[in-house]
Amino acid sequence: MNQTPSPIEWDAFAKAFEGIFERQYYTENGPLVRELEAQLRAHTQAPHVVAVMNEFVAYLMLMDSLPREGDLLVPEQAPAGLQQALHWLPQIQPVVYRQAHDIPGLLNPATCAVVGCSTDWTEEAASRAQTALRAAGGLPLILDCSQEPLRPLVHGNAHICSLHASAALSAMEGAYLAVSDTDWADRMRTMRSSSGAPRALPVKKTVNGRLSEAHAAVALLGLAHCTAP
Amino acid sequence: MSEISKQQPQDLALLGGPRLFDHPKPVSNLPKPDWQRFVGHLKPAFDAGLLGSGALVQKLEARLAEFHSVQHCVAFNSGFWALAAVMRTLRLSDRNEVVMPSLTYRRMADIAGWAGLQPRFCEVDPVRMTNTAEQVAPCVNAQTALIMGVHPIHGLADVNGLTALAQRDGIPLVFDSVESVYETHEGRRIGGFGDAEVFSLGASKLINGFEGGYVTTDNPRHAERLRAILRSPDQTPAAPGFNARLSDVHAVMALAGLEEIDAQIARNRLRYEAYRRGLAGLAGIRLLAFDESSRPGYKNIIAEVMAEWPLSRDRTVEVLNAEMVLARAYYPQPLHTRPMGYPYVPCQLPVTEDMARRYLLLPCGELVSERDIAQICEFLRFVRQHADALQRPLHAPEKETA
Repeated sequence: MNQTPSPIEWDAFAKAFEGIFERQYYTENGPLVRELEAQLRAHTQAPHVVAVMNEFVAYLMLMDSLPREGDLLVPEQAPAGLQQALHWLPQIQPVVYRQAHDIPGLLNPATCAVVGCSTDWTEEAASRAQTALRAAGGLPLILDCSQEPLRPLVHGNAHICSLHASAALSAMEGAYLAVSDTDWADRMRTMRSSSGAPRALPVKKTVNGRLSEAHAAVALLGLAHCTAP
Repeated sequence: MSEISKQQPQDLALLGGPRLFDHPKPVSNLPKPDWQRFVGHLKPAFDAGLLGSGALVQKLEARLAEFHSVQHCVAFNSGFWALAAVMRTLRLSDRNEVVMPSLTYRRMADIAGWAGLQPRFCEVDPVRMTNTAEQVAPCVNAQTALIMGVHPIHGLADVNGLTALAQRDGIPLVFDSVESVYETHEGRRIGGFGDAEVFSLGASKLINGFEGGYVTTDNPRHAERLRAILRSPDQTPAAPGFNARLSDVHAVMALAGLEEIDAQIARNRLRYEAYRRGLAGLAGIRLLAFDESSRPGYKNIIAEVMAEWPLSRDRTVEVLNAEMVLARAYYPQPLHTRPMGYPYVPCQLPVTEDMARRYLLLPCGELVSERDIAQICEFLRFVRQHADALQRPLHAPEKETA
């Protein structure tokens, strides 16, 4: 299977890597990761974007830092990264829903958050669900935007987007989180690595969730291609 | 001729003087392979559409297996997730504790937490600076699911003692070998001991893969179980696998670095020799010597801050950091004293806590020249000469070293 992102030309690809070699900055919240996060912030209008290693790690970080434990409402076709992460999160139990408009009727005191696939969620549906989630104590709404990688963060508390080779925006591997809440974003950065966290907030566990400069470079090339006029 | 221009206490950066270096001198290795060698691996794969196919990862796995003289190598996207996979896979499933030293990688306990294991921290041997069979044995009990042997950042683990203990009690033994890529034990390269050994391809390590890690083992069943974890995410997402695959781009970087490793070791040795010359006769700073019989990689430079040194280890780090000498404490906080958001076995480890106050990791790796090292050593002599000026509290109260 050919997974090399076809729109990227060798010259641009090689030039990006030459830059990494010149800087000798390979990972750990490097300049290309910071640039990628800045561009994604601009595209998604999200207050915070955290680039991470892959979709599995992104879900793990997001779910382990939810304000409460309990039932997670998930779509029937849950993203692979979420399914993988749930095996590492015994404090969270998935409860499957069928359609976005079912959400208000499914909320109960055990619910901890809702995950949706963005292509199944119109902004209207997200708005309606978020109203219900606010009434239920401010439960988070998380949309998986792997097929709509630059969808603005309007309704919902977080977007999660795979940058895998199979995703709409490819870094060959990687993911990003767009988050509205500053504390939640800082907890993600604290979990991800020792660099890049403006302040260290308490977290249950850390991970190695770093996106390398190599994959950030590929994502930036892909981003330039998919946003070019 | 003096290597530095500082002459009086006011010249210390901590007291307002100019910094010793304009650019930071890190403790990260950051090896950069030859560009043409890197491109020589990358471009054919790019042209053939193989980036993402796993072909380069397989090539790297074969080369690493050969390098470590083992039957199997399984690559991961980081040492962290390689350790997590090994802990989940090789543990005894009906038990819930992992025995590990507290003076080790700062995320090791978190990895155990992710793997559903409770860390039971053991003491360390004050000479080896890691856990030996003597410290591990009292911690083994009916709940022990796994023993973590850790090669310290300087020297080797108690390979024979831990192996004998693990075999006697029928408990899986995994070595964290991140800092012992190049070393040999009794003439055999590290990689084939215990049930499995785990390595990192992080940029700060001997082989730079941007990010990455790998597991070596001679046990085909262990290797297959680890490979199954990595295969299953795409094939059956609901299976308990997870995406921790190394990417081909990272594999290319590691391949290029691996091919140049002997040259890197030679440069590391020159840096080590420069420290030996520079620190010779400096009372209170004891450079840890490499054991030449283990074919060391000479990567990490560790010094003990002794009682006759006029400053504590932490104040010494503060003084050095102000000069852009990014020395670090080894380790700043033992794991058993850190907050943990998961079950663990509380303990007191006085030897570990004492050692965590005494050692210093000095700048090393490809961004540090022999001249830099001469200046760092000369600066330490200057610090000793003018230590009185640093005794006053500046940012934090001075603490006793020992």
